Amino acid sequence: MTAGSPPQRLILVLICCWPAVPALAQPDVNTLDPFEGLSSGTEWLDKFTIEADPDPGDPFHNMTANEWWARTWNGEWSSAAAEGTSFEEFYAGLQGRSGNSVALRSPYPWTSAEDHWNAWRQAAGGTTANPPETLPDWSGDWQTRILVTGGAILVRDLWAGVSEDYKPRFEQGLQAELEGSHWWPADTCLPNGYFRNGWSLRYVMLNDQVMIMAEDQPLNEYRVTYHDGRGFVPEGMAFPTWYGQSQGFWDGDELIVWVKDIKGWYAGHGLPEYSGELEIIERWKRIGDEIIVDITLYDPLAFAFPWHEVALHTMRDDWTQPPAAHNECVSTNNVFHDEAGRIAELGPDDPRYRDIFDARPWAKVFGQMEEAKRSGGLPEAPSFLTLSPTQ
Amino acid sequence: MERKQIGQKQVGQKLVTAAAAALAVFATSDMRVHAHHSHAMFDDSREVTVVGTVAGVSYANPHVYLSVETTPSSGQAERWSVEMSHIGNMMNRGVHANTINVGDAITISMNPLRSGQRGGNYTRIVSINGVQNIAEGSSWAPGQTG
Repeated sequence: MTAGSPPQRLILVLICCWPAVPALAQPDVNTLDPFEGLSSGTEWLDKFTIEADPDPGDPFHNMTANEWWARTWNGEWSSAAAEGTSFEEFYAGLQGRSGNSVALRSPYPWTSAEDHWNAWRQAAGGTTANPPETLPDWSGDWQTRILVTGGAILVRDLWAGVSEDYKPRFEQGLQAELEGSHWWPADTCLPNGYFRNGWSLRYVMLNDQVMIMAEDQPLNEYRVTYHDGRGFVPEGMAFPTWYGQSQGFWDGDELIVWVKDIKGWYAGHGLPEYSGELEIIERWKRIGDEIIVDITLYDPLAFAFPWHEVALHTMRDDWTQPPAAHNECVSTNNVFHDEAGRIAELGPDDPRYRDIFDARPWAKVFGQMEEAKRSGGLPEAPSFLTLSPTQ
Repeated sequence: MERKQIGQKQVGQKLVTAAAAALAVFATSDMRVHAHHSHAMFDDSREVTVVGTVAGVSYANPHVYLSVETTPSSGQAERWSVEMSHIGNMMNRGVHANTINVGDAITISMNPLRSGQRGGNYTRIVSINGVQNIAEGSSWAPGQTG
């Protein structure tokens, strides 16, 4: 898609004429002890799930982020255009179910991760580590449910939370998904980044760190949170990574984590970009067979205000569900984006096709080497077994 | 939806839409789904059915793949790459690592690549070694032989 094409202009006109977003009801939270009295993870999720009446003037057609990509991911626009449907008619037919959204604005009074961290640390007695005598046991496999970045939020609420500087980028990504030119990191085996960082998680609890392994991610990614008071990697040694560096301290059985040095990234799926300025404060607590994660995201470049997110991990302690498995994206992928930006996939007759069924791919390379020697492309080198031993 | 048959024989089948396949993805997952890539490269307005022999099986995430060799009326063997869902979805649909094996005779339907290359996203396994599929949509349940 080129900037200023008719479909893009249509969305621009709709957005610029849309009235200001009404203020949303803010969940009531004890800002220094948010999990006080909490009995279940579902209770915490429900607190941030808000009712949303359909708005006939919504330029995003009352779609959630999930609906935005799920209603377009089969290339519906390509099929409609081939039948002579105009983009206006196509987009008019895309309408969300609405009903619910997610409270995106942080319920906390702080405007930076550092202030947030310091306030919670002071509330915990000024600790820098303070592990309980017996660490809570989070080891095992968990299934994640997450609200905002899971796509349960209305796109119009996300739009209100994106900075003016980043709105054009968000609009471009949304437009591309409408037109079937989705760009998702995993489609070419790149990391999904913090916004889609794991469906099936395995926790390993150690005395100094919590390790999270996300086997289902394109690069079988992992993340480490130190909670022994060692502090961040010193300035000059630190560098941006996909999931940043994490430090934690304990407030009783709750782990508070500060994440920074995160690479700016884009996850598609109806979600906007975040910048390399993103810093995150998480508060983790296990209740029964659930782990609740309260997440506040500070990104002064990409966000219009600090965001709030809720994740809930549910234990998987049997084989009633299929097991998590190694992600073999790198070795099996034939997806690419063509010269028009469209997502495409190579068929087996294309010379660029990665033959994922070849059990001995090295044999093809060795054969190419022998052929190159025969044709003079490589220096002659007979089999070493044919050479006489030297004394 | 346009339907096309490639292979040695005609096989009757129920129409399976891409929308049904997408719904199955949602039905078997939590709020976040394993959407590795969009399906916009597949033409959901067309369905191709190939009849051939399984030449390769890659039972892996993020997608299970089949390689199917067909012998169309032209006599020139063709190789098709058939994309399926991730392991979790495939298990829930009744397709396990040993359900489809190299050498099996298979009839399978797919939304073909829009590019015209020989590949697609499967919509239905019609039969394996003559055993008809009695499950709905993209699931597999063995029925009668023949």
